[in-house]
Order: sequence, then C-alpha cells, then structure tokens
Amino acid sequence: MHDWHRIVRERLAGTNLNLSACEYAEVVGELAGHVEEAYETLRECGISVAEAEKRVLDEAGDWSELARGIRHSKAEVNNMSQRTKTLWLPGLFTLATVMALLNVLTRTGWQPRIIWINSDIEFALYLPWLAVLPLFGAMGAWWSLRAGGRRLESLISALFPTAAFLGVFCLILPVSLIVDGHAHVMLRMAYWATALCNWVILPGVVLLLGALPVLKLRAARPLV
Amino acid sequence: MGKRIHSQIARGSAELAILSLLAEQPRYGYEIARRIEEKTQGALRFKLASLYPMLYELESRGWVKARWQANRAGRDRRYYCLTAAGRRKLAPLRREWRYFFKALDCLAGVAHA
Repeated sequence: MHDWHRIVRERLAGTNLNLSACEYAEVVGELAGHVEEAYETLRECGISVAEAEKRVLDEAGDWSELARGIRHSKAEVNNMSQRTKTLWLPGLFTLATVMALLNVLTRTGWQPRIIWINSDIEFALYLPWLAVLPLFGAMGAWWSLRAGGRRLESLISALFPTAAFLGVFCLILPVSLIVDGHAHVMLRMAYWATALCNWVILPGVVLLLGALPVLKLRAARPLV
Repeated sequence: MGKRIHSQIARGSAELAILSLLAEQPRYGYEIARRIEEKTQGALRFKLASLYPMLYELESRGWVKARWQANRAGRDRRYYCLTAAGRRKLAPLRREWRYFFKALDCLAGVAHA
C-alpha cells in the first residue's frame, strides 16, 4: 500500500513552494490523489506494482518545474487577495467612514468655518471633521498593518480618502466645462489651490498625523 | 519568437480545453487530464507540471472555483467548476480559436490536409 501523500511530499521537498501549511497540505493532497488514481488505472490494466509506480512518477514530469508553476500561480492568488486585505479594504473603510462623518456633520447643521482670502478665494474648514480625521487615519493604517500590510500600503490606506478627493477634483474640471456656464471660475489657479488645500492637502496632513504613530508603533517592515 | 508563439498557443489551447470541459460539469484534476486525453485521442496530454499550475491560475483569475468533495469512490477530490466569469471568458475564447483555425485553413489548407 503506497503512501502517496508521503511520496509527493518527498518529491516536493526542497523545491521551495513557499506556501502556508494549509495551502501546502491542500496541494499535496490534490497531487497525491491524482498520482494515486493514475497508479490504480495502470494497475487495473495489469501493469506491475513497480512499473506502475515508476510510470506515474515519471509521467508526473519535472517536480521542480511543477513546484515553480504552482508557486507562480499561487503567488498570484495570494498577492491578489493579500492586496485586497492590506490595501483596498482598509482604504475603502477609511474613505467610507470619513465621508459618512462629513455627511452626518452637514446633516446635523455643522457649518464649515469660512476664511476668506479675497472675494474669490475661501478656505472652508470643517473643524469637527478635521479633528476626528486622525482617528480614521490611524484606524486605516492599523487595519492594513494588522492584515499584514507593509508600511507603504498602510500609509496609502490611511490617505485613501484624499486620493479619492483628488480623483474627484480631476473629474470635476472637464465635467464643469461641459455643463457649467461659470466653469471659467474653476480654471483659476487660485480656486484649484484652495480646493486642493481644503479637500486634499489639509485632510491628508491630518490623516497622516493619525497614521504616523500607528506606523511607528508597529514593527518596521520594508517600505515596498 | 518561435518558442513564444508555441508557448502561447499551448497555453491558450490548455485554457480552452480546461474551461470547455468544466463548462459541461465540475471535474477534479485527474478527471480533467483523462477526459482531455480521451477526447483528443491522446493528441493533448497534461502532466502534473502543466495541469495544476494552469488550474491554480484559472482559479486566481476567478474563472474556476474549487471545492473539496468526495468522488464516487468516496475519496476526497478537489472539484473545479466554471464560474460566471469563466463562462463569459469561454465564449470569446472559442470564437478566437475558431477564427484562428479558419485563418490557418485559408493560409495552409489545414482542414483539407
């Protein structure tokens, strides 16, 4: 009676599959099942035990090539799901909570504090919102780190809302030019500078203030 | 160049073969290899080193989904089934290959050879 799991493990030994224990067991189980069934098919055809064993292992091909192929395919799976866990989920969480808070504040009557620079240019400061943002920045960074993210991913997760705001601003200009008769106002550099400051730079700095202590607290990992 | 084209054809044909088989019903690795060999009368054969990396890659792209289940003999096997994304991918893949063979036939009269 052959122990195909053991035989497959021996063939894969030293090939550096680079899988978690659970994934490794699953791959070994699947390959062992394949080899076992191939062996039994040969035996049913009247092939001797030794010959059948030799044939199935020879027909399996190059085990190091198999390991390389599996490593490559599994790495794609892992990278994809890992990136979702360490970047997209915490980033979207930060964005959603930041937007939800802003929505709640505006619905409950909180007005931004307006600072006029001149007749055209104003800073609109949502002070309560800005005051809470460090907490969300910290939470986004913490979630990403906890999921195994590197510092860069954690940083991006914390600053995700500002990236989204920047994207929206980049969309607003062409859309405004098409639908808004007063779009020329938006073409002024000063307007853009204040809008960027209100929605991208200032929130970004505040989110960063929350994220930095979390990034420092966790054990340093390579930046990229 | 020649090697690249050869490997792309091999890869593309393997994708088409596996997805087409899984479109019929869920199957496990050994069964997929056997069915492909039988259906092509031995012209296409998958070794472990080519079959499983391809299956894992199709899984990573979300075209197939795998789950452990006991087969008829009561043994646990990892069954692969086509996902909606895989089904969407299969139709254009079939068209591409039909077009490819038609083009090759126009060029070299493959069908009449």
